[in-house]
Amino acid sequence: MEENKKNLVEVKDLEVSFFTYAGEVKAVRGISYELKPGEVMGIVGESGSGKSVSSYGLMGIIPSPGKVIGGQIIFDGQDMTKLPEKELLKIRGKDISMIFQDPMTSLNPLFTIGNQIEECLKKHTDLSKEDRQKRMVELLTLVGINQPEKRLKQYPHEFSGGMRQRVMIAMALSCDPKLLIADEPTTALDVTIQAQILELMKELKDKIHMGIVFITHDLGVVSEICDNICVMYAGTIVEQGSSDQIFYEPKHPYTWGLLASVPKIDSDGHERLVPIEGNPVDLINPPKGCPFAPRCRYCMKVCIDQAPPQCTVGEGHTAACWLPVKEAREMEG
Amino acid sequence: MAEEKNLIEIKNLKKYFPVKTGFNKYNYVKAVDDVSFFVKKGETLGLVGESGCGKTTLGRTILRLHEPTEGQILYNGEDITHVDMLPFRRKMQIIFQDPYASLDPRMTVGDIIGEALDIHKMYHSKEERRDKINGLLDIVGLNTEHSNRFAHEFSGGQRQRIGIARALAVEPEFIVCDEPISALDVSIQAQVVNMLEDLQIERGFTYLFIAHDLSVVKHISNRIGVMYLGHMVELSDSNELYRHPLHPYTQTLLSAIPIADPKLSRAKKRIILEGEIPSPMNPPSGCTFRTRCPYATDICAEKAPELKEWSPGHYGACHNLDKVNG
Repeated sequence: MEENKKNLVEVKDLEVSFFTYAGEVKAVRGISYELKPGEVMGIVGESGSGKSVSSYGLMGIIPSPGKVIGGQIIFDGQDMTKLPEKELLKIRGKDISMIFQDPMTSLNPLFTIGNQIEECLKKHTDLSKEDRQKRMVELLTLVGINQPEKRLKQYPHEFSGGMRQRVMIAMALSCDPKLLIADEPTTALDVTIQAQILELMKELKDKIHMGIVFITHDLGVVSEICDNICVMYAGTIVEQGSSDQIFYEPKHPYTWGLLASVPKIDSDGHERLVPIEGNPVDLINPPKGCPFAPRCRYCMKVCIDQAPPQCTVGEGHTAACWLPVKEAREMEG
Repeated sequence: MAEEKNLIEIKNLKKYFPVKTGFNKYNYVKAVDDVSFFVKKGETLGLVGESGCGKTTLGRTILRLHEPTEGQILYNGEDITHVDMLPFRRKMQIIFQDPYASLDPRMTVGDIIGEALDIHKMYHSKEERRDKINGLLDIVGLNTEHSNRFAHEFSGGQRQRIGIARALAVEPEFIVCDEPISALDVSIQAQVVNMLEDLQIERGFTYLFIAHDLSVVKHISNRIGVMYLGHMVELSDSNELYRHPLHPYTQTLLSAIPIADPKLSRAKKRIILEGEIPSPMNPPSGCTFRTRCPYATDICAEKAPELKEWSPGHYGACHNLDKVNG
């Protein structure tokens, strides 16, 4: 019980599939992670690796034809996958909230910003109209929007991309959530605006004690803000550890590949990039063994036949790979 | 020093887009405003800047995909600003940003690549056409049997390879790469960047490489131009630009890049810019960057700064270069 109290979120062997005409797409294939309050967990992966879908599972908003087909998501002692829709509605927006990737399309163009932020406060709190107004002004100030009273009466098209993302963050924070899911919050923004938003999120993280799940494909962004990192590939977590462990002592060949394939900005010489050859796997027919095996430079016979175990390679650092397993290396000779 | 010849030269190029603001009234979006530079034969010139700064418009205007409003474009010393482009299309090509939108979904890959060969009548028989297409597919690392398939059957990285094969079909000398990798996954980006570099070494291409990802631009370019609101604010050798950025905008841009190294990024001091990029329809007077610039003085509002040579080969457009770099 003691363990459970400490974790804000526990994801256990989560499996999500999409039932399409072409067949069952196994988008998430058994992932597990834990998040403590006040921690930032980064989920890194390429498109199609299941990073977004796994966090939609946390909110219970996996789009049809997707379904959670196995595993548990325990949030605050409740299994989110078993809760009826009515209960989920009470949690969404209040205890768990989300920032989406594209600030241009995630706000309703027909309502003012004030209207849209107020909706959440109306639903989840019993503040009076004046208190709600006060709270909204407070929120906009918190996310660095000037003239909040005037801005609340404006429509989304009167805001630029960076400002809209600030509005989204204000909306997400309106009911003091315990968990914030940020799904590529800076991907659609320019670098200078991205730096502003990241700075804001870092500030908020210290001010408001909440857990953040930060989904991105940009390793640079992850290194800025995250305490712990999960690296996802083809619906599985291939490596998991603290930010320092992932960047300085990576143990999985996919992580090695990711780190080597980004150009170093501070080097003067011209080093050739080391790409990961091949293409991501087809999730309708995922390979029997390690999903990364066809692209892996260190692939052994066992990798093709058997899924690799989660090896503990350091304190709180695991990698799903046969390489750290001594017997596997010996068999190969 | 035959290598040092300028392949492309741009003189005071302007591209304004009219926007209707009332009956018979027009305002202009100054997408590219008075830009001059040159690209040497065999080199890669990178163009960086935030969205809306006019870098894509500039690339397209050079190829006359947009007609320039004012200014001159010279190709190999020849003025091509107002001539028939057909003969020049064989020498100048473009790779587009979005590999999902830039390939016709109803054409087979073979026809997409072959179309350019048809237009320029580059073969004598059907067999020769087929062989050429197969050869091109081979160069970009696709199989010859892919030529009968349609674009939707390929992944993003493979589609970008098709786009590259199409650009290579006419054996060009100069290629505008308009954000060729920004729609691709990280692990695929490196494949495409390496391929572009290999092709340059083998065939001596000249590239204009447009991107917003500064680390990739730095990696691939010999020289880099930084754009802000339609103006070129700094132009320099790429290593020099990263070591000694002159312009306050370049300095912030560089400091805003997230580094994939937690210890470094924790130690790094960032210059965070206030505010957003102003509307190009109504740009600030004088220096367009002054509204966000920490060093702005009175003169910045009055006069637009010109691109001046600060050190050999390193140009900056700012009134206060001495103060900023003092």
